Amino acid sequence: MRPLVGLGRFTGFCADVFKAVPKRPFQWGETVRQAWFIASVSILPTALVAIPFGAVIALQLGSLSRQIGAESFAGAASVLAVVREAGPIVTALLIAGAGGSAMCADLGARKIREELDAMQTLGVDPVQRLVVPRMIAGAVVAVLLNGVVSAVGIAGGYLFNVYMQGGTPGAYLASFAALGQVADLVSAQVRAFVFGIVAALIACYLGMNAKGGPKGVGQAVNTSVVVSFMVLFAVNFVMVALYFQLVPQKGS
Amino acid sequence: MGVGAEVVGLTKSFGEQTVWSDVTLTVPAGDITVLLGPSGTGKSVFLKTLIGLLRPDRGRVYIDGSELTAMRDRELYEVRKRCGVLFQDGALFGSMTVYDNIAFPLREHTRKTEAEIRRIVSARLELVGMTGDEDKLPSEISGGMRKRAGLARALVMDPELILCDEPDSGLDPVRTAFLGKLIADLNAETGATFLIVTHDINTARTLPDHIGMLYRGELIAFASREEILASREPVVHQFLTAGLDGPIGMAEEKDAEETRSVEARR
Repeated sequence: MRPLVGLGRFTGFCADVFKAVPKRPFQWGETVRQAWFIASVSILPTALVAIPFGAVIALQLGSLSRQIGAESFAGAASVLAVVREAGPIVTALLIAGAGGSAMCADLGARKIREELDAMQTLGVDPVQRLVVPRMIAGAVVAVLLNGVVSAVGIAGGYLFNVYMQGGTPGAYLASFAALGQVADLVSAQVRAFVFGIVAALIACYLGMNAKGGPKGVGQAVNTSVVVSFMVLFAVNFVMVALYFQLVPQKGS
Repeated sequence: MGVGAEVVGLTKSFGEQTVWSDVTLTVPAGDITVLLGPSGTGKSVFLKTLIGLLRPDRGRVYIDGSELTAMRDRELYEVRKRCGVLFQDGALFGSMTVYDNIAFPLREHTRKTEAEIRRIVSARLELVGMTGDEDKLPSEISGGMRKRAGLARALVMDPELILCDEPDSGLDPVRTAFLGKLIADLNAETGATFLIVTHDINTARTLPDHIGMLYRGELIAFASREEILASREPVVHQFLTAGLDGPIGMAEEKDAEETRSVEARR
């Protein structure tokens, strides 16, 4: 029963947030501040995760493609792996782990200091004032982060393939378009956008419902990271499955 | 002129635990009412229910004659703009300076120019004796100052109903007396209704027109100050004299046991 009650409340919360999106005045200042904040806590870790991730993929696929005698496709395979899957996954991990946890801790601290109650009694809706800007900032930054991961991953794969595995630059670049298509990038960006929204909603919901003093805030942050990881991976699976059903692939 | 509040058959519980049940009282418009009670009797929960931050399990709340418990969010926010609430720790926004905190409601709800806002905020700061602390962050000032700044913020929209959650806890006796005088002056000047939740006996003895007392989940008394101060009801008497003999014990559970054994002896 209990998880269902939580799920119901969360659904109601999400409905409130989406209803509050068109409300005026839109909080531009808060949105920009939050976007800047999320970007500042996640850009460096994103780059540092994306480089080895891209290199590992290049290593694995480079060796695999040599084994099956398709070395000239190593570049294409890297691009597919990084753009289609590694990008959104790394984005999901960082937007939930770095951005979401900070968001949850911030709102949780405000909740237990009664700031959110005070805001409501001053006639200001915290959902419109605080949650909507965070959700939009999360979505925008996730899309941008995904771009960073893709770029860094491809560059890392290129360096690895060309300088360490003896691949040729031309083959790496020329095979880009052999299997990949623009729709791959679009799909990844759409997923990143959804991840940003989901991670922000979960973090804000749990933060705003923290209770029991500082310990409660710690628990809320922990729950927020764990729950958003699980939800984001599930959402990722569903969206990828839909993508392969709806968008025709090259060569098929 | 102040607005009154009315509570009918209000019941609130968290899970299994009932905080208080069937509370019915009228907070008279334009008067100062104090709600007393030992620690942990749900006084703060009562205030939060009255202003619609918590939903009661049963019962209705009326503010100025309209039913708060049946309102949609939009109407609720309109009613709240006419109320000021002082939270226990002041509940200032940690990311804003004292000045911005107090200016917040004005910037949100009015089209006043920055000069007008500055004038109003300065006046409120002077009222609570905090001139010169405008640019400090809430983390840089003491608990008592946070409380006074919270009061200044609650007063900035000239509310008609002001709810104070333990305005005197954590303040020294002199400051408490000053705060009491400030509340009395504001009440006389603006006619705003005050509902103060506290366990400070001195405040209760001097300040209010009416006193209510919450004990073990019930409103056990609500009458004019004189009647309550003269009351021989054991709980009220023990509380007001801070005595050791009586139904109120050290722990909440003991209170319950005590009452049960008293009832058994009867």
